[in-house]
Amino acid sequence: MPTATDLVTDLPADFAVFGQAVDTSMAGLLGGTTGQVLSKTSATNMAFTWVTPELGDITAVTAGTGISGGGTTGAVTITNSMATAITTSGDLIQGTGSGTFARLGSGTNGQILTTNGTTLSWTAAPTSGSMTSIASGSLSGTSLTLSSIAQTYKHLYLVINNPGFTGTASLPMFRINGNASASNYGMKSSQFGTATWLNNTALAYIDPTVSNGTAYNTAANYTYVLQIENYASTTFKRISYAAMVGFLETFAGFGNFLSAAAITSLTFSTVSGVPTFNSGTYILYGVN
Amino acid sequence: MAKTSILEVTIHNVETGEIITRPMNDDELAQAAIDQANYETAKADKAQKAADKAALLAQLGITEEQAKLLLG
Repeated sequence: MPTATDLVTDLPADFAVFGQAVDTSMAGLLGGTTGQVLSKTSATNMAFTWVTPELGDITAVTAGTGISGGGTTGAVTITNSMATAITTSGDLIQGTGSGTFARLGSGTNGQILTTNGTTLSWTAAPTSGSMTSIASGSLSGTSLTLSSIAQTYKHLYLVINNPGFTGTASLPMFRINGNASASNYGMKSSQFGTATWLNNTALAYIDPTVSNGTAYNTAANYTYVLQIENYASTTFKRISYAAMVGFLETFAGFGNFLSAAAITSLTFSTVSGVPTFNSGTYILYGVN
Repeated sequence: MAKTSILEVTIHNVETGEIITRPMNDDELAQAAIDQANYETAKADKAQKAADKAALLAQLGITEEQAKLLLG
């Protein structure tokens, strides 16, 4: 028979068969003290024990600056107000004072971010005093021609860096609009460190090393720059150029492209015409 | 068989950004030949002038620096 301390799981069944033992596995539920809760000790059925729960001391969640929501009971949600202020791709958040902020929508195509000293805003990009990269890449072939140059800038600025080439040493040259007439190139040049200015008007191209540079085919530390003023003009175009050849030779030259045609293409090559570039880069800027 | 050298030009269309490399056409080959001939002529002229100058200095029995001093 069940004893006074046994727990009966199915009383009618227990008494249906006299003397049948009862399931006493729930006897472990006896005991415990005030405030304790039942806790599983393993995954096994009826594996319980009484434990004293750890009590938290948070009584409320309060939203601070830049945060909204909070509460004192139940599931509490807090939200980043800066994140929800963003409504559109490209939005920025800018401070409007101590601990305050506001959404700044993205500007329109081509606009730039500016400030009046305290507040940011989008404004149109300046149409003067700017340089825009309009073509760049690596040198290849026996020559590089930059064609179909838009007539929308005031000036052009071309930089050739470290041009190296295979074959016999040679000297660099620029040609404008594919023009190979010496009468169209009125240039004078000089090598720094010499007192002589050479008249290059007999050349059918711009010679940035004044025909005095050391012929080369390596690429270390060589830079050529070409500036063309008012290239879209239909009168003479003023040109200045410089060459930094290694660390020892530096050249500069000035002159006019004596043609009424607006400049639409520039060619960089070598005066001997046949070496193939195997290194070097170029970048052409439109200048306003 | 000897490898044939093909001269190629690279053209970067600034308006479209398209870059092509193609063999030189007849006009470009002709211009390259002219440029090469002019370069060889200029190089020979320069060498000849240097040789003439050296010969004259030797004939006069003075150095280049002394000649500059005279002309200065």
